[in-house]
Amino acid sequence: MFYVFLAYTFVWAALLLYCFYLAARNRRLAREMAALEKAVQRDPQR
Amino acid sequence: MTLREGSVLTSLLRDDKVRGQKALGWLSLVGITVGLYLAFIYAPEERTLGVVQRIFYIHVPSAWNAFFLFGLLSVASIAYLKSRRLIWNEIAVAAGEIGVVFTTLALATGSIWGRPVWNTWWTWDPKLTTTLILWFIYVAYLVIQASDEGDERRARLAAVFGIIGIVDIPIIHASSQLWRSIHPVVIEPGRSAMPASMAVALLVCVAAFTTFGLYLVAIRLETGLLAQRVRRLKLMLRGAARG
Repeated sequence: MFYVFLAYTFVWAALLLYCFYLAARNRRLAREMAALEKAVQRDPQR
Repeated sequence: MTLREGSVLTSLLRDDKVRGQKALGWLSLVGITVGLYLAFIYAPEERTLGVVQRIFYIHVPSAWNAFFLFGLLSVASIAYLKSRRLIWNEIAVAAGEIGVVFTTLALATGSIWGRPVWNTWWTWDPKLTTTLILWFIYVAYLVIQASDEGDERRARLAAVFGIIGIVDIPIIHASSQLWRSIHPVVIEPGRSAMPASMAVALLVCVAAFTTFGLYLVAIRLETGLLAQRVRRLKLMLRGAARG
């Protein structure tokens, strides 16, 4: 049973951590994009 | 050609998000819950291997998902080479990254299963070795995609590499028949070596993993599209600062 527990824990922990990592990266990129869009609008030469 | 201009795929995207992304997430969650119930409660315990055989219900779906996603990568790469639209390259990168994740999981679960059954964590069996080669091929693919070449050149090189890499999948599939292998052949065309209840549990787990894989591809595609827009905005600001 130890090996089954190890395999299932490894798979689901890895997939969930990866999923959260991607979501956090997307949120950071969306924030950065919003800030850059504001900067472009503020820029008088644009 | 910009990332999204004139693409038939634009209908699939809304504000850099893949349409139906949330639905895919919920569907995966339901599929995974049902899959776990079937794998641990509905499917019977295998007579020879005992409880450790239940690793099968995550090992096979992980391997299947890796093959499926590398297939998607090849299709997207061919589409990129034909159309030169960068959106196809973004889809290929997303499929490649998630494919590598699932190959890692297939290798890891195989290794955990091998320890109590073969009494070793790793052996240079043809199927294991060719799968490890597949992992190296697509890690190299991701290294190419992360390189500092220009967008067009990098995408072209990666697309060709990704298409050639897919050749390893039929070799993995045939390796147990071509060479002497200790890896079991459970699924063969026209012959089923497992009872129906096990086959049902396996099919549900494969479907759940495929849905979850596609959900991850959708999130990773969003990352690629956002990163591309951030890069373009930074270039615009830099240009404005110079000019």
